[in-house]
Amino acid sequence: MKKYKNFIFIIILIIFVVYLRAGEERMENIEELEIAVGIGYSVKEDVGGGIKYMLPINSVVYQENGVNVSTVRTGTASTIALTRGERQRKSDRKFFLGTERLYIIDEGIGRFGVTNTIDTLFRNPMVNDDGFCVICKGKSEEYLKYKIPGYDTPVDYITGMIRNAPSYNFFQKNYRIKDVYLMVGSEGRSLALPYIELNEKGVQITGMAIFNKDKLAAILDIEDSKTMNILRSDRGKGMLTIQGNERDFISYYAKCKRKVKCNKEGDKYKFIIDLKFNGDVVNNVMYKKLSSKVEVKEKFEKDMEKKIEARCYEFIDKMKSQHKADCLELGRIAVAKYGRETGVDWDDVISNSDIKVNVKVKVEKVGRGEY
Amino acid sequence: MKQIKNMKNIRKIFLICACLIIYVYYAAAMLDEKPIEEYDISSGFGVDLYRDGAGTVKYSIPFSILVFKGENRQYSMIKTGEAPTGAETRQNRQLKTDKQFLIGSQKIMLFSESLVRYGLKYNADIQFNNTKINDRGIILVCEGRTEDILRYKVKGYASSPEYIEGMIKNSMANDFFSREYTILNMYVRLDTEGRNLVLPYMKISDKGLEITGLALFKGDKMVNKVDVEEGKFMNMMRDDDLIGYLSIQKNSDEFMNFYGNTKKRVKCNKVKEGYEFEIIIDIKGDVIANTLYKEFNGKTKKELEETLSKDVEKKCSEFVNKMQNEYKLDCLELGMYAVAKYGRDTGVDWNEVVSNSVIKVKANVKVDKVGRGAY
Repeated sequence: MKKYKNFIFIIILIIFVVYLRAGEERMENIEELEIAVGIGYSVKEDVGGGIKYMLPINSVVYQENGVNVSTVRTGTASTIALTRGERQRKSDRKFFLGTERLYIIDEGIGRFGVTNTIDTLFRNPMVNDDGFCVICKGKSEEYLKYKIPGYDTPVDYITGMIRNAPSYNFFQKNYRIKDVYLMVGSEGRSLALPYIELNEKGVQITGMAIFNKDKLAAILDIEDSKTMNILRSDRGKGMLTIQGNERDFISYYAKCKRKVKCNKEGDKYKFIIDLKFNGDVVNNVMYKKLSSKVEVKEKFEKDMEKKIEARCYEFIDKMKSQHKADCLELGRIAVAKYGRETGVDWDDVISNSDIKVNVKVKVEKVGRGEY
Repeated sequence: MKQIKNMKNIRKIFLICACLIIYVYYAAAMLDEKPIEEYDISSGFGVDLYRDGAGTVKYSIPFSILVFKGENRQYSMIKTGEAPTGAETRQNRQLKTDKQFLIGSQKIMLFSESLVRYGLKYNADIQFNNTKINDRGIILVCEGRTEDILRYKVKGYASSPEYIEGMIKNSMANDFFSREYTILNMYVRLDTEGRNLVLPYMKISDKGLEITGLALFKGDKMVNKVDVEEGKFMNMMRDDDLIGYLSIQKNSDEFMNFYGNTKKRVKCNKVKEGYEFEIIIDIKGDVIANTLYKEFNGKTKKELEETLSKDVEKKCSEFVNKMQNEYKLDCLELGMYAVAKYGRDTGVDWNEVVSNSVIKVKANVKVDKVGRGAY
């Protein structure tokens, strides 16, 4: 045994050295890389009638003097994978994928279909699955090139916007690219992503983009988005207001919980959505003595329930007649109960089924009192 | 023995349970919290009101946000929420910002003139309901849009609210400026019988940011404003314990400056025709510049005190006259004294009563020190 000891030691040493050397070849200095932080997706119609993909990538270059530079390089080619080569030709550094935080898909791709885009992302094991995904108005390049003072890249800002959106407007937390894979691929689910716009005042979320299968079906304004988010997400937070006239209003900041029941009667499905709101009154100049009288509080709760219910029904009607898509992911619940892969088109079924909404509003705190 | 052991065990279990409950309670509370870098921290915000094309009222609430980058570089950003009600602006603002808002650390709150002319009540309610707000923050009224003032760049400052805060705080040591311009005082003044709100009025002039006067309120609406000079004497009669300068000037060579602090007393009497008020102002202070009197002795000192008293009385009476006839307001909060003496909730409009009652002003100036001597 002792004889082999040296021999074994030498072999281990060799393996170790080879391993380290091999690693060295693949790694490069951070100054020689372009670290991608955000990727945009656009399409452009080609002269021949085909289409071309345009993929701008916003990357950060770490310089030796400590100043970070943000660059945007665009690759244009007939498929997404080919844009890589085209983009590399314009760059003096190697692209480094895996740290990107944002995927901006523009309306053009949305109308064309997002399957190709998602497929390329899904196949690549290097990409960051936790990056956020948004739909934008216009070209995605403009958003990545937009300069915000105090920020290295606009990606930081937009990512923060999506991350913190759930504190109001009943936005969800699942706008990451891994959730997009699921929303597009699972039966009974549908894709809905925040929609951002760039104007002279800056970047702003202006609503939600809803999809029919993998194609952009409609863009909802912020009021409709709010209602859809209430009906779609299991829990959300947001501000609700009843306004009589300009000097008569009450605002209520609430958390919402959703429960859905599904019943099948013959061929028709019946859904009951239970919404429970629980929150605080933050501004009240409408109901006098809200804090001291129970009847007034109950009246407010009733009024608020009626208002939310009316809004929900209005949206459901619109969804059934105009969008003809299952934006509320009700198919998911039916599939769980009655089995999947039955070859049913859930967008169609939901548009023809009976949807009922029950709303319960509860006031927890009324603040320091009314003024 | 056994019993004691049992007791000890129970005590142990109880202690563990208590620890667990306390831990769970705090852990649950921590779930909602985030590190400070994840919040938008504002040094001040403004409240604006405008009517859009269709004539509906819209609130526009800009926040001045500090953005930290690197060690020494700071930027300030303006983030504005716009909606038909104050609370909805928060929701609107969240759509434009990358962080969560922390309302409460603000140093100043600016009201635009359009808002205070419309009514402050609707906005005061939301502030009152917000338990996180800094009640000691300073409030002001400004000309034009609040966003312009928040955006105004002051050299050496990251954002203008810090500068404005200093402006108000240091005015308190001069010009008989009152200390009452905080949110907490606003609540009290808006809702108490016999009291009226007065707020500093500022604008961007060609010299920069400047306090140009005081805004006078009737109920929750601004109705008029006075300039700084007039405001000085109004404050003297309205507030207690103020510091400022008084002067007598005959010509450019002969003048006298006096720096003192005031004490105010109000006497109120109900007579047949109405109320009679007597305001007594005691001013005690030092002579800081004097070329008027060659020599100070008992006689000249008395003369000086009398001249100053007469001057203050004259200017105060002038203001009282103007207030009773032109503004028709109880800017001096005399109603408060009458209410305290003769009972509240009598349904009396104190603005009207004070405008029609007799108000006498008496000033007593006392010179304490005269400095190292005449030069």
